[in-house]
Order: sequence, then structure tokens, then C-alpha cells
Amino acid sequence: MRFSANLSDFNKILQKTLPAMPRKSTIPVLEHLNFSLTGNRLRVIATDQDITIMSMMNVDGMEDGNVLVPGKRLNDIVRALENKGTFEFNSDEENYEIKIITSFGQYGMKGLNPEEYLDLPELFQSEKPSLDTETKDEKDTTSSKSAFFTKDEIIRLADKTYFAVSTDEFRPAMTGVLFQFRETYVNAVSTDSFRLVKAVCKSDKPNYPIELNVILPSRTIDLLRKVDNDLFMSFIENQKKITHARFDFGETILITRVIDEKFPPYEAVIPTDYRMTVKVNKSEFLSSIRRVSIFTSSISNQIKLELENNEISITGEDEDSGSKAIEKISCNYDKEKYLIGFNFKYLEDALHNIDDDNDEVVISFTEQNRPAVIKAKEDSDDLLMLIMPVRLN
Amino acid sequence: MQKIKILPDVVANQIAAGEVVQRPESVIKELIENSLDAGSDSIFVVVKGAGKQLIHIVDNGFGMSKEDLLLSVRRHATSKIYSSDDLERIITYGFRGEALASIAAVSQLEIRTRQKEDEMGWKLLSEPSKELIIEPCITEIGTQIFVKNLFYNVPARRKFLKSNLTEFRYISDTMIKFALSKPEIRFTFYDEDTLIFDLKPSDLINRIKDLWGENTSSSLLPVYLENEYIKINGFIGKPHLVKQSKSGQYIFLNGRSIINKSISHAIFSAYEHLLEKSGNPFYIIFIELNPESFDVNVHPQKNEVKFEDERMIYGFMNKAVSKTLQENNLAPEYHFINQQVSQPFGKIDNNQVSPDKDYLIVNKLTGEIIEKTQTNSLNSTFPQSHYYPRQQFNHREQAFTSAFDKIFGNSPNEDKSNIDIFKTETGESSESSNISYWQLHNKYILTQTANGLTIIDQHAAHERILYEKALKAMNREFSYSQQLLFPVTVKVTPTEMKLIEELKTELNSLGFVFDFLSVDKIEITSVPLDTINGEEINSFREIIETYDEYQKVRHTNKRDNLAASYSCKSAIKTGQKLSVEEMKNLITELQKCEVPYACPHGRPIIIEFTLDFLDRKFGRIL
Repeated sequence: MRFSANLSDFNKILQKTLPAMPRKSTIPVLEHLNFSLTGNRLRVIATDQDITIMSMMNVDGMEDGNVLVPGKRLNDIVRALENKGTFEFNSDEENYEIKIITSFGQYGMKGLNPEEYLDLPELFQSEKPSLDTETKDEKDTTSSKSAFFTKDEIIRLADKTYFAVSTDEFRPAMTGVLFQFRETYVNAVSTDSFRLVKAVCKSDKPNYPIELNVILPSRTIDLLRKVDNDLFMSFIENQKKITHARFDFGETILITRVIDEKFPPYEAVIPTDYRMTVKVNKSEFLSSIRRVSIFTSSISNQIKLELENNEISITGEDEDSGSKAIEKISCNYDKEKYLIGFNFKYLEDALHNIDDDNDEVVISFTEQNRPAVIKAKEDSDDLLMLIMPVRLN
Repeated sequence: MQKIKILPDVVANQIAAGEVVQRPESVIKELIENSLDAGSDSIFVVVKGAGKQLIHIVDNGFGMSKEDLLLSVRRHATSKIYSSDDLERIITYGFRGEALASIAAVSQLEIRTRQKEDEMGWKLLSEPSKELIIEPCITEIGTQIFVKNLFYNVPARRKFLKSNLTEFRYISDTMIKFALSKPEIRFTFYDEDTLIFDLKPSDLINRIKDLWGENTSSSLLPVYLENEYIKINGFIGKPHLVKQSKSGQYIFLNGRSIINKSISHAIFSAYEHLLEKSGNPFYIIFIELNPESFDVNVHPQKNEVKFEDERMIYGFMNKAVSKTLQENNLAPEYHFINQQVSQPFGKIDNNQVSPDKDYLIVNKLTGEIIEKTQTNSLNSTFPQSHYYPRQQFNHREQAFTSAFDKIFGNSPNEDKSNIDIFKTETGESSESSNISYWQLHNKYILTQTANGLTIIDQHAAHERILYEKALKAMNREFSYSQQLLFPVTVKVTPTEMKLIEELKTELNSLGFVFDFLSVDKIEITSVPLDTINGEEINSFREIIETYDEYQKVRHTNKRDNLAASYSCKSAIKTGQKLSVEEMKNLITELQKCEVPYACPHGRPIIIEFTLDFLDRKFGRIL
């Protein structure tokens, strides 16, 4: 196989596929990128068996072929070549020796026989959505189980939910983000049981599957935060069960295993019977928390909010070291005194998660053993966050 | 005026029973001893209600004839001694002829027994102040005993029994003692329907493995020492098997479990500063001694012993354990290497150890001490710290605190709470303001001190910090607890459930809040704020499991125990990368601890290499 290509374009395809390649694997073949060339089309595949990424690019093809290339070394040399100029890639179909020829010189490494690569279980063939953008509309009609997101929409859903994903292996359902498709809208929900985020994406048209739930692993969500194109999402089924989700964007296809677990019944814990709702200035609140939290106990991270007389007093205290801080900010609350405690980190995370251009934040409370609800705007549920209070004694 | 009367048998037996049968455990002990004396090689024990409701023992021993069976429940009826001369040479377990009579006086007793040569066995039913019933029955060879409703006729005594958990622990401790002293015998032990253990005939080390697991059995060191009077063998635990209570300690004298403070002390002092002061080493020691040189008939329970020559035993025991510890080079290495490397053997002046201008011979390459002579007579106690150049290590606590003080540039007398690691006000300590920290293999923190190099074990250090915090948390009125959006249901075993019920208050104060859902399920609604994220439920399970393991081998303060299991499970692990900030923070926190030099299991946290030592090592100083 032989081709030449522009180094900076080539670097892009590497950066797109490498996230799926494990750095260290008990299956050494996975530490390779699977290259194949047909005419002027170069196809690169990487997989760690949970996530598989395939990406394509145009090159100057000279000789078709197929080879497995050591991923890390290839990436290192491309980086060291600083994306300048072109290079020639050359591999011997007999002994899989790979040569990279640049204006500086020549680099050789040992590749592997592509037949040693894992059989990818027809993931790419299943529905055969081609990479041509023109055929997208056609697919929409052929499958009720597919969805289209603009780049901004998918990045937003992924960004807003990523931080609250649990790492608790005992509750695998919570180690991913739940996507709930409901014809005209999609809910993306994540929780680690201490807090919960729900981000909503709406459409004017019935753009999404009528009713479909799927949990995507947090690593996939992390990758979706970085997509560079509008995206088409579809599903791969095995015996009527969704096993994988597939994302087509630009010249790349990402296929991920889905988490086959039951997501906790989160709707039930979202309070609707608020006892009080306050509006506060977001950045004021955030900087108060930041200062007060310095004086909390490092064990507890606990701060207390006390609502009274149109003010919130924020206190932090460490009884062991005798440090203590109190600040007050104004809010619209004039009913009886109300006291509630939080882990300040969760409050901070939630406030940070609200868009920068949003000055205000709306917080609703019910009881001390039920979550507080944080929203960007009172009348919008595009983004809703719950935080469970700490127990006050 | 009351006349003096001879007490009826029933009353006399009830009174005597109080001495022999104190609790269900004593019944089991007496009955197993009988079974062993009857040559059984398989003994099966079932208890119900911690032995208060039922104790059932089945053996495959000789069994009894009808006549013996009838006699067995009479006071001072024994097959084991006939005259007072025999008392001088007790080799069987039982001998006072009190056990069955005493048990019969305070319970409903049923015995079924059959001798090998008989086709039919005999069944005896006994109930206090009722006629004995004896009748033929079909039964296996050996003896089966049912003790029902212990102390039902002595309410005062029944009232003084402890909780089922505690009584059960006594029983299982006794079972463990028998299992250890007779590894060649099969012991099967059930708590109602739950199998506690079924130990196949084996040797001691495998029996230990069956009881405590591979972790324990692989951390043991063999002890062996013998002369014409006494033989000591068995195993001692490496220092990390240290416990807070004395329950991991078993001494057997001619096969009988005994308690003897002097022997325990001899062993403990051989460990010296390898252990924290309050720590108790793990050991299983067998002493063989001529039966004529001690007296076991000090107390009806027979677990206290009087020795003819206690000092000799003390010295010999101390020596046996010291020898093992030395041979295994267990003291932290830096303790040994205070000499030049050029010649392998050398003398060290030992006058600091003992006033009598003694010396020791040391293999300078390995740090091993070669005993200078064997002239130490048995009854002279071995110098306790003979294998350490004393200066730094005469007292372990001092060694570590002084290492600590050196890090933080303080004199030993200064109050620790005033120590400031980042102290910069004087020119002299300005050096400490830019102390750098370096992590070795994501395991140890290295840092420079005024006198050299200090190494801190990150896991042990964090464990110590959490341990003290957990203890504090359990002793204060309030807790820090993060509530959960989605409560977690945890399935637990019945024993774990008992534990969780017993530890509810303590677990709550640690931050775990839960409801009992059913007999084997709890629902956790709140978790501590300071556990590692995503590990809360995992650590709850592990805390209970670890606690349960501890529980089986020691009767210690439950808070200590819980704090230790909590801290071990929640502490940062070996292998975790730490930033400089984290290292600094860890050391600052460690410094606030009351015992900053050893983790809750007794392993050292800090080791210091002095410049002086390094200079010698590099041959700068000779």
C-alpha cells in the first residue's frame, strides 16, 4: 500500500481515531491503527472493543492495500514532524514493513498483518448509512430509530451532563448518560446519586425516535463533547435489543457499546411541590461560596445556607480547627427562616454548569431530605439540576 | 435459729455448677474436652441462641457403658484420675469429675452414647430435681450430648449472660482454640443452620489458613526453641498482623489453652518497638513442659496455670520469639546498619543496652546479629533490645516522634499542636519552607529533613488520619452525611445484619444512614461526605466485611474496630499518584494525629535515614 498525503490533514484523522485506541492492551493488535486504502480513500479504524472509531480521508493513492500500524509511534512521529508539508506512506504487503518518507528523511517500523485485527462484528455494515451527507435524509425515512443533532446541540447535551456521571462500578447504569428520545425532544440525564443533571434538546419537527431510552458510557460522552460536525445518530440492534449506538459525523463514524442497565427512576425524585423558590445573582453566589468554602472542614466540604429577610447567609465551619466564615447575599425571600446544608463542591459544579451569559440562577427548595432544584431560568426546563442536601444535625 | 444441714445434692451441684459452668462457652469447653479424652477424631458442635437454647455436641469417641453413663452425671465421677497421685501427672483435659454433674444441675440434659462393642446404645435424660431416665436407644458409636435451656432453673445466672453476639463470640473463640490445639481432629461448628466452619484434619499452618485465610497464614513466622525441660513451637505474626485486642493470641500448654500474663508479656516484649504500644501481636504458641512442673488446678476453668519456675519460662519464651524475629530480619532495616561495610562481622559496643559492658556480634552486610554465646542461662531474661543499636531505638515511640520532630524542626518537648511544617520565621528553619516532596513509585513520600531523609508510607499515613477522624466522628454528637437521590439497597448475610444492627449508632455517626428493609436487606439513604467518590457503597460493604473478620478473632472496642476497618478501606491506596499539594496536605494532617508514627495496624508510617547513616554508608565517615 502506498500513498502520499498532507501531514496536517493526516494528523486530523489520527486525532479523530486515536481516542478509541487503548494505550495499553492485553491484545497487542488493538494498539494498532487499521489502515486500508482503496483508490484515493484512506480508511483508519481504531477500537478498544467498547468504542470503535472509523474515519476516512482523501489521499494521493498509489497502491491499494491494508496494514496495521503501531498507533503510538505513528502519532509521535507525526507530531514531531509538526504538521508541515507532505509525506509518503509505504507498506510492504509481504512483511508489513512500513516506511514513512518525508523531506527530512525516512522512518521505518514494523506493522502487522491486517487479518490479525479483531473481527468487528459487522458494526459498520449493519445499516450501511454511507458517509455521504446527501443520503442522510433518505435514512431518516428508512429508520424510525435515528436522530439528527447539530454540532452545537450534541456538544451542549454532552457538556452539561458529563460532570455528574457516577464512577461507582456497583451501579453501572449511573456510569453513563441516559438519552431519552421522545419524538420532539431529547432528555440527556446523568446522576451520581448526589446530584442530577437533565439537559433537554427540542426540535420543531418530530426529529427523534418516538420513545427510546439508551445509556451511553461516559467515555463516549467525553468524545461527543469534541465533535466537529453535525451528527447523525443511529442504533445497532441484536435480537431486538439495542447493543450499540452509532454516530456519523463528517467523515467519521463512532460506534459505542451502550450500557444495558436500567437507569434509576429519576423523574420521581424531581420535586414539583416547591416550598420556596429564590433567585440569586450567579457570579455573586459563586464567589461567596468560593470564599466561605475555604473555612469548611476538609472532611465534610459542608456549607450551610440560611434564608431569611431577603438574604441568604452562607456559612462554612470547621469545628476541628476552629475556623469559620459567613457571608450574606441578597435574594427574594421573606418568609420564615429556612436552613439547609450542601457539599459546596456540588453547588459550585452546578453553578458553573449554567451558561456564562446567564446572570441569574433560580433555586427551589422543598424539604431537608429532598433535593434542591437549580435552573438557569424559572420558566425554562432546558437545563435542570438537582442537588441532594447533607444531613444537618 | 437455723440448724446446720447438709445440702441436698441438687443444691450442692447448682452451687458447684456456678464455678465450672459460667456461660454456654464453658459447657462447650467441658464437653469437647470430654470428647477429646474419649479419643474422638471428629467433633460436631451446633449451638442455638448462642448456646442458651441448645448446645449439641456429637463425637465419635469411645462412648460409655450403661453404668458409666449413670455415673457420669454424678459429682466427682471421672474416668480420668483415680487417686491424688494421678493429679500430679494430668495429661487428660478433664479430671475434676465436675463437668457433666454441673451441667446436669443447670439444664435439661440428654446424652446418647454407644460403645464400639455394643449393638445398642443408651439414652439418658436428666433434669434437675427429677428422676434420671435411662433407656436403650439406637445411636452411632460415640457420644451425643444435648444441653437445653441452660440456666433455666437459675434465673439469676441467666440474667448475667451477655448478649447473644458476645456469648457467641466466647464460644467461637473456644472453638478456635480447640481447632488450633488439635489440627488433626475434624471440627464442625454450626450456629443454628449456618455453618461457621468445617475444618478437615490437617496440620497447624493449614488449619490457621482455614480459619483466618491465606493472608494471615502467609504472614506468620515459625517459632521453635527447645531444651531438656521445655519445648516451644508455633507461629508468630509479622508486625502488620497486630491487633488492638489480645484476641489473636493463643498459648497452649501441653495442648491446653491457657492464659498467662507473664508469657504474653515475654512475647510482646520480644517484638518491642516493632509494634505500637497498645498493639497486640498475633501468635499461636505451643509449650511442652513436664506436667510435674506446673499446676493447672488453680481454677476450675483450668485456663490459669502456675509454673514452678516462671522466670525460666519467661526468658525462654522471649528468646524464642526474638530469635524468630531476628532471623527474619523484621526490624526496619535502618535499625541494623550502623556500621561500616568493609568487614562482614564486627562487634558493637553494647554498653548502652545493658550496663554490663556487653557486646554483640553483627553481620554487617545483612544486619543480622549473631548471638555471642549460648551461655545465657535459661532463667536469665534476654536483654530486650539486644539486637538494636540502642541510641535511636531504645524506645520505638521516641524513635518515630523524634523523626517526626526532625521533619518539623521541633524539640521533642514541644507541644505537637504548635508544630508548623511551613514554619519560616527563623533563619534556621527557612530551609523547611522550600522542602520538596517526591513520590516514590506512587507509594512513598520522600522528603528532606534537617537531619537527612524521611520516607512516609502514603497509605498508612492516610489510614492513620482517617482512623483518628473516624474515632472522633463516632465520639461527637453530629455527623457529616450526604443524602442520596437514589437510595441503594444492599443485601447482607444474617451475621452481617446482626453486626449492622449492633453498629447502627456508630455507622450513623460515620455518616451512613440506612433503613432496614427486610431480614437480609438494608437501604442506604446517606453516605459519609469524605469517602472517595463512587466508592461509598463499596466501602460500606467492605467495612462490614472487614469488621466481621476482625470480630471473629478479637473482642475489641467496637469503635476502634470500626474505625480501623473504615480507615483502611477509605484511605488512598498504594499506587495512587499524589500532587505536591496533596503530599503537603497529607503530612500536615498526619502531623495533627495523636499517634503519627504507626498506622492502626501497627505498621510504621515514617522511616528516617539520618545524614550520619548515609555518610557512613557512603564511606564518608568511618
